[in-house]
Amino acid sequence: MKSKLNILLLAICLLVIGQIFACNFFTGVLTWVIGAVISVVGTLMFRNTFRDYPLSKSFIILMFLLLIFIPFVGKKQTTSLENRNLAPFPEWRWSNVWQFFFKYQVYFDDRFAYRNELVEHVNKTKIKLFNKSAIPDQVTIGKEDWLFLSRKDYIAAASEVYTEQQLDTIVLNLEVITRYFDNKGIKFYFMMIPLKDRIYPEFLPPLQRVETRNSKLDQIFDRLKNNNVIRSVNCKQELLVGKKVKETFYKTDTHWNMFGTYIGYRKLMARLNEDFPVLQAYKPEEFMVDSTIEFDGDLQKMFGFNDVYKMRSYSYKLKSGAEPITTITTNPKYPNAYFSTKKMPQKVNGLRLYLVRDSFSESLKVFLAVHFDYTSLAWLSILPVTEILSESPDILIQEMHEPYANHLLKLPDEILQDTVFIKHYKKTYLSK
Amino acid sequence: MMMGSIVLNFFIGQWVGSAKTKIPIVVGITINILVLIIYKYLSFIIGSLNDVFILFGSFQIKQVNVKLPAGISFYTFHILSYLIDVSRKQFKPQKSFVDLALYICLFPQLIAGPIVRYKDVAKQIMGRTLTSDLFRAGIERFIIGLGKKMIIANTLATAADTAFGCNPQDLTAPAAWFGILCYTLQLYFDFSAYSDMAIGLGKMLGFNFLENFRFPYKSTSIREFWQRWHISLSNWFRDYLYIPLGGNKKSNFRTYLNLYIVFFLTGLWHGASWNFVIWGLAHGTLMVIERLGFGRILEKLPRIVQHFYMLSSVILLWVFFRADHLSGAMGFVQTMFGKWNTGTYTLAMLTDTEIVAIFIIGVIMSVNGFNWLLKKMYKFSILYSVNGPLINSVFRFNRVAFLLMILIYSGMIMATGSYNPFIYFRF
Repeated sequence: MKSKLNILLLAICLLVIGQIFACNFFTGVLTWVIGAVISVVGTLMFRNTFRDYPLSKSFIILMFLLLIFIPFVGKKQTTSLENRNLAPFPEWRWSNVWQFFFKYQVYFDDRFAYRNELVEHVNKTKIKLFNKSAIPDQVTIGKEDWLFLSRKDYIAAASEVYTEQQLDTIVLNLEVITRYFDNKGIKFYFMMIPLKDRIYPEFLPPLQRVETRNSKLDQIFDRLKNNNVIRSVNCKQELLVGKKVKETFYKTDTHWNMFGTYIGYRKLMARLNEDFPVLQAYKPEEFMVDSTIEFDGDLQKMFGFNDVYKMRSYSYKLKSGAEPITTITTNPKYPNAYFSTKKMPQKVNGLRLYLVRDSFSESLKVFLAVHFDYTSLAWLSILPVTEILSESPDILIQEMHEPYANHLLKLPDEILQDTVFIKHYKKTYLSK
Repeated sequence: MMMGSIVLNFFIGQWVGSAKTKIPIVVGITINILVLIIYKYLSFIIGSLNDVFILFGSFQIKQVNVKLPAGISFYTFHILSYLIDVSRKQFKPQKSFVDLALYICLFPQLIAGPIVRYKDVAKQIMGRTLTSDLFRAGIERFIIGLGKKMIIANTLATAADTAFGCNPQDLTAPAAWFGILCYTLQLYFDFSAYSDMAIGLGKMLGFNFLENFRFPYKSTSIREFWQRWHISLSNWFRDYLYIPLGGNKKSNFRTYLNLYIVFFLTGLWHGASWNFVIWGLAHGTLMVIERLGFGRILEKLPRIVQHFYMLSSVILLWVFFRADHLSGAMGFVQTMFGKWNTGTYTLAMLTDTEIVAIFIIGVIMSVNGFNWLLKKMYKFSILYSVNGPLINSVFRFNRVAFLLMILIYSGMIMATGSYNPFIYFRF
């Protein structure tokens, strides 16, 4: 009896390994047929080894071999949970043989069989057992299931303390950009969106609250307080007030929700209104607002699943039904950037907008585009000066999320290379 | 690098084996130590000399950037063990280049030990028998090691890394204490896990390596601690340094001096930094103090006091082992004893349910608590059960199920982090 059980166990293990291996090349019943052939052949070959061995001992040997072989023989993963491209199979070069092995390690780590499933399960297990993230250096779980991005580089990029010299550079750069575009007849506005951590610190894990205690946004806007050259928009305070009414950020996403966006839009429009009285924000009652609760959120998806945490979403739609026509464009100069345009079907006010933005404007553009005849959007963290000038907008807005603040330390190359302007700027403004 | 070392030492071994003088062994040891110094310690030596020169305002030596070959400390000690054992005529020099290469770069223990003395595996290198029982025992040992590393050491590392990653003045005293306690457990579980995996893999290949850890935190003195911690390193230094220096067979002064030499080199072996030297010398000092009579006083004290003495000494000295710089270590110790009152990183920030649970499990496992409990349960079950074989089967089944659970869970954790270096890789 014992020997039969041993042989049956061996056969099952070989069947599983064989079937998983066959899935690399075939589908359907054929995989099981190949698995069965491998199982029969393997069992005949190894039956004598296992026949008289105690069941408990052979069980652990076979299970161990089964578990460590599956990642090797199973079908390689082709999709990533981490929102990035998986490492490609390395190229063999005789000139650098070792490099192949290092790169193969990265390739294997990215793609071994059932990796995504294992990541999903370990994340779910840790959350269930300890309410803790298994990837704390990527995502942390705060109070009341609020999720926060916790990548060290992301936090550092938003929370390091600037030196006085760095702050001076940022202010100078913003002034130069403002005056450069003023010269071209374009009004430049700078808007910075705070980290979710700044708006909901009460839900942050204690450690992350300390790590994010300094804010680049605060440092920059403190410095801009008495500056009357730079047209800046800071909606942090409004978001803090707004959250008492409704959530302004998604619980399981890094971004602001439509209500938070609406608050930011109102603040931005109020600033634009000072220079363009024709631009007035729509009032809340002019929108149809819907609310849904669903499984979603980029932070949740980083765990490798999308079925544990729910978040509330709002949708805003103008009652008037006004909606622009969107066209997606490409630009060979910025092959990885995302360009698009939005054109209103009827003339609105003759104004043109150029919005240089990041992911936070995915929702902001919905509110803004209806105020302009024509809106160009560039998903970039630097100003594409040539493209902006060729569009001749009336208004240029640079919307920037707080962690990208360091981009302000550098002027766009096109402005730096405009020697006539730089000479004029130095003579007119810096000589004083 | 390693292949070059093996080829060179294959011929040095032949020379040592056939020579009647000590010249070949002196040459062999010198060459190997020099290679180790160049690759591991040159940068440290130049840095230290420059620190001295700067005091006198004289010239500075240009710093060199030498990449540390993985496992150089371990395989150099393997080579030295081979050469010395051959020179002592305990073994004939290896005629087979492959067998010598197998001993030096045997992969289970190549990078993080244990340091297997040549005399312990010489016969196994020549021939060994792989049985199903040995293979199964290897699997079980490997799984235990993997679980210790992935589930316990890595979890505790998050708290320890946070504590040691910030400025000591930013830590509160309880946070600093918890940080070093986590590191104390992390280091033991990390290193002993690697030894378990090496021993397990060795068994799967038919080798029987000696144990490297025997629950060191159960010790009641520093002397006992070193009989239980990194046993293979202690044995190596005892056989190839302490005893040749005279051990404790000469005067008391020579014994103490020998101890200092051994612990100075033990510290330096762990890393090219003054932190490790101080750590080693402090352990040496405690060993000397125990030999001077404190050991005898300690034996008369209650066991709990003995444990307290051993643990507090070891834990405090781990600060020097873990900190990146001497000033950081001093600052950390000052924080532990409440020098600053400016800490923003509190105990709550270092802990969560998982870390606390794993910490408790770690404490119990570090003193062999679970085995003790299981044995008691087994004895109790057998004593009061009418069906002994059934109880045996239940215990066997639970053991297998538990091991497989550890393997699966460890595999799941590994899948979440491709970058997962072992602490002892840097040695």
